[in-house]
Amino acid sequence: MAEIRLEGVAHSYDGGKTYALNPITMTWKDGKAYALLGPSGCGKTTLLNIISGLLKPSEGKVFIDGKDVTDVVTDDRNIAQVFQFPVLYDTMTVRKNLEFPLKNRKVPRAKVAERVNEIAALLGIEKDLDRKPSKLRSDLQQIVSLGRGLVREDVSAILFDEPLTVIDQNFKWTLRNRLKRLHLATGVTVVYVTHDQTEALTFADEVLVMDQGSLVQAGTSESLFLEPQHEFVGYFIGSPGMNFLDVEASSSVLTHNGKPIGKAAKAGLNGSHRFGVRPEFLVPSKSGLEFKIDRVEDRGVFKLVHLSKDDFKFIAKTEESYDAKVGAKANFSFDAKRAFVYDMNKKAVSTVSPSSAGGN
Amino acid sequence: MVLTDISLSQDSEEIIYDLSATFKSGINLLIGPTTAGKTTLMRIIAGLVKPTTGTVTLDGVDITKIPVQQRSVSFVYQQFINYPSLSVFDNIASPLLAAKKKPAKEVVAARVEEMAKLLGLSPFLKRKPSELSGGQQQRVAIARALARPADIVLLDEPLANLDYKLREQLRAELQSIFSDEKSIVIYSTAEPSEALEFATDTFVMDEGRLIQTGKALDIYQAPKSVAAAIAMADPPINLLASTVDGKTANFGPESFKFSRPELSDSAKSITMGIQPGRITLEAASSKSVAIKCQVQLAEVTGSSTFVHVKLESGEQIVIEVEGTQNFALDKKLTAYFEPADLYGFEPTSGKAIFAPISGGK
Amino acid sequence: MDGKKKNNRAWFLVLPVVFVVAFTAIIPLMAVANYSLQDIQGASNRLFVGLDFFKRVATDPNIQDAFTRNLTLSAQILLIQIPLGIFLARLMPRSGWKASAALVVVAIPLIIPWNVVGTTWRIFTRSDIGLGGVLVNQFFDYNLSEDTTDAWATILVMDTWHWTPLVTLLVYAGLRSIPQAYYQAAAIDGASRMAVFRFVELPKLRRVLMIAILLRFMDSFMMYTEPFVVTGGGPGSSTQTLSILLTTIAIGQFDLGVAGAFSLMYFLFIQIFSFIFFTVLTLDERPGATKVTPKEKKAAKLAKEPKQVRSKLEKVQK
Ligand SMILES: Nc1ncnc2c1ncn2[C@@H]1O[C@H](COP(=O)(O)OP(=O)(O)OP(=O)(O)O)[C@@H](O)[C@H]1O
Ligand SMILES: [Mg+2]
Repeated sequence: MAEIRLEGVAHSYDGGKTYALNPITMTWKDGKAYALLGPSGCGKTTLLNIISGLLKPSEGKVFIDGKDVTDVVTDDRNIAQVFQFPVLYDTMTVRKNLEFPLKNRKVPRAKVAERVNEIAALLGIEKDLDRKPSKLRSDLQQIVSLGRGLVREDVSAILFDEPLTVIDQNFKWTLRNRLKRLHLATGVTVVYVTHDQTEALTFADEVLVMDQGSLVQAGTSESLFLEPQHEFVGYFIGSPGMNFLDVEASSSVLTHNGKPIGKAAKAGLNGSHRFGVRPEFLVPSKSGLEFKIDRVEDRGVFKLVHLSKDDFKFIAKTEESYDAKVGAKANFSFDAKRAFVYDMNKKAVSTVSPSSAGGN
Repeated sequence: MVLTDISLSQDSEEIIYDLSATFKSGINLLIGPTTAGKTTLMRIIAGLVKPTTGTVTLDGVDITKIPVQQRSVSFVYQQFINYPSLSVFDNIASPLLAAKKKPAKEVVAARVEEMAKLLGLSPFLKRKPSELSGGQQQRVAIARALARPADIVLLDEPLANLDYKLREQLRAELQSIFSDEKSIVIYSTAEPSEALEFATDTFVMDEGRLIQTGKALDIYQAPKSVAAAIAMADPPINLLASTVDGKTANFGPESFKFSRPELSDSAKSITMGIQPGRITLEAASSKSVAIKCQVQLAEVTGSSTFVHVKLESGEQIVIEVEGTQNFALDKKLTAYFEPADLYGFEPTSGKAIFAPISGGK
Repeated sequence: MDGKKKNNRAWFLVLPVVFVVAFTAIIPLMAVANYSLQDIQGASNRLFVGLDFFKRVATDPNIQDAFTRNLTLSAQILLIQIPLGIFLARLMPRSGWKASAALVVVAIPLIIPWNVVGTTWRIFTRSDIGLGGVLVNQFFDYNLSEDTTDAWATILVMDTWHWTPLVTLLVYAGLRSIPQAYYQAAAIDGASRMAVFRFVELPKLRRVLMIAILLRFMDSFMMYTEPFVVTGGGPGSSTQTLSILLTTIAIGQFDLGVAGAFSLMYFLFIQIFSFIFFTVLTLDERPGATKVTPKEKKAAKLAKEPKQVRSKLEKVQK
């Protein structure tokens, strides 16, 4: 169990020309589950490798429980890590693979057997213990890999690098569930890297959203969904992502091509901004903006209604029962607390309430 | 392309059972759990594996015995492979340069750049694959497979390791690339949402068998078997043992009035199913059935919350509620569902008996 | 793969090689076979003697001695050079200019012709004027033309100097192809350097090592030039390899019948050894591999049963 602190940690793979990770200062509290969420190539693996010591940061310091470990090798940091793709010792059976991290640390035999059986049961691979990993399907290989990360009891933290991507959809549910329970039971600090928002939001106490090597917002799953403080969060979290529209603000009144869109709650807002509202909060109403319905996607339990108005397009997520006719006109409004206006640095500056003018 | 009675056994074990299917040009979706044999089937279509019995015909010509090199196929593997010593550019260009008639240098460069742009790899063309992030490496493999136009394009869970947004974007791109080309695209996935989004001909596989074909939404609403219902549902469909007698039925400990023309008067045990999204926390009508349950775990996805609950009879089900809501562990809840939303299956064979009325709407 | 049909045009590319090999190997081999079965006195005077020459080879004490000696030499060479080669390869830098520099240095002995190596070493080891010989003589009595142990040790050291780089280069190439992820995983798992070698590197080097061992065995078992130049096979016959003896029989004594039979048996021995070696080491890489333990088989079977049957089976098996 441990608290991990990063101070101005940054990394460049090409000697300072470009940065895969921009300076980050933050603390990962003891016993909490964190999810690191971000698109491919944003620097998630880089950050994890720095924490575990596989990579030495070009700048900054790493502390574990107050001790500077920047120059301490992986082995002495006592951190478990599960990799993005299965890495297994081919000559060992699954059981030997699971025993390996324990045996290297001279855990007594009886304890080793007990732990291995426990983890195998948790992951549902008891039957495969005596097989060679090369004979397993790729998803099972990844589960064995996962098992190797979970088998040690005494770790300071467990880092998961997208551990479930190659795993079957149905089993993913079960596994996610078991991992969450395991975390609740052991209370070890967990950092869970994923590009899957469901996974991140479900698993973690706190979700850190990353983009292009920087942390853009940290928060609970609710706050990220309901109050995206950065355009990227609005775009990346939620499917489909937030609807955006370029607007001009003049004394907090927002217009697009001269037509009113809404009014910012913050007073005295002027200049170019972006307006954003999630499809979930763009709701059919009697008043509000009038759109043309371009296309309707029926997704079984809900509908995605593609709307257009003048020169822009929005998507609304409606109940399955919403009767949408392609080509027809329909009015949509939005929830005052759930629409935002962003400045040119993509940071949220205010919420927006629908303009009473009805949009015409 | 027509597959007739394809079967494959290896080490005296059958991997594919008597499978017949017709794939038209455009995108065909192959869906099923990892054990379903999707990859094996694609390997047969590619010509990498010869089926034990059966034939593969393309436009009426039997191509079963034609070797891979002479078929016009490209294949994106689920486990991607790049040439580690070549640059990203050379990796993507490799299939073009391997063609019999080598295209001109400029043509290759243009095509490579087009593919790189499509997959967001333009800044990395000079790097080696080992200097890329995991997702970027996967994209190189996809770009390589798409670089050369082919009659048959096999995509085996191509987007599995990519992030959500990129996946959304690539799905749209793939759809537009292949809508105007003549190729037969076979796209395998384990994700129902992907199938629902493509909304094209869908083939559901399970344990080496083709169990249902049709449009994704139709299969979702009226699966022919439990396996098809499971394959098409995300989150997983709730399944419980039940007894019906034509007038009443039970769901867990709750019994309620229930009649369907498919059911006779005699008592019968069946498997009942209901989508997590069709269980609500408020009664929708007077016909709603109430179930008492206790919260085990709540999972939040942002736009919805999945509540895992235990019924009084001890069985577990999942409820999907809109928005983000907090549920304390062990909290007692009452949930509701409409009998019209239920699926019914034979308990042993898994064959469907009835589907939700009007597709569960 | 079973579905793969051969592309026959590729065979044309092999034709030049077939042609060359026919002249350099197959035709001489036929001639050798010819000599081994007949006692040829002159162009028209030949006598078919069947397997007589072969029997003579098999019972000749000189040949038997040389055989044991050469086998011992090969074994010692393998025991020294393979571990040493691996050790050196692991020390070499994996990237940057240092890697290139190390490669060049290691490769130097390999590009020197055999006879030059021999001559160089002959002078180098002379106990009166050779740099190495004089140096070693400071510590203990060293004279390779009189002391059999000295001669033997010199051959070993020379061959090790000359050929360990081959092993090193092969292993180095093998090491470089191991993905970084394996080392990372091992670091996380707290594996010692020894464990990394044993469980990560060795399994991945298997094929490379197999080739290295085969090459080194064949080469050393046929070693001729270097001992011929340095020791001439002596003192006595203490460093006489099979090849040197064969040459003596064929050219020195002009006993072509015996030499022919000898060559064929020599050739067959190397072929058979290599074949067995290769087969045994690749046994479990073949489809339907036989090296599966019954326990593994059972586990595999159990895991493959369809889900419903699986739980039942387990119960029954308990
Ligand atoms: N060894 C390397 N040399 C040079 N650049 C690298 C190297 N490894 C990663 N990068 C670059 O650094 C950036 C961040 O990579 P990282 O692996 O941390 O991404 P990631 O967030 O894990 O992405 P993914 O979800 O695709 O795995 C990427 O743009 C990548 O191209
Ligand atoms: Mg990564």
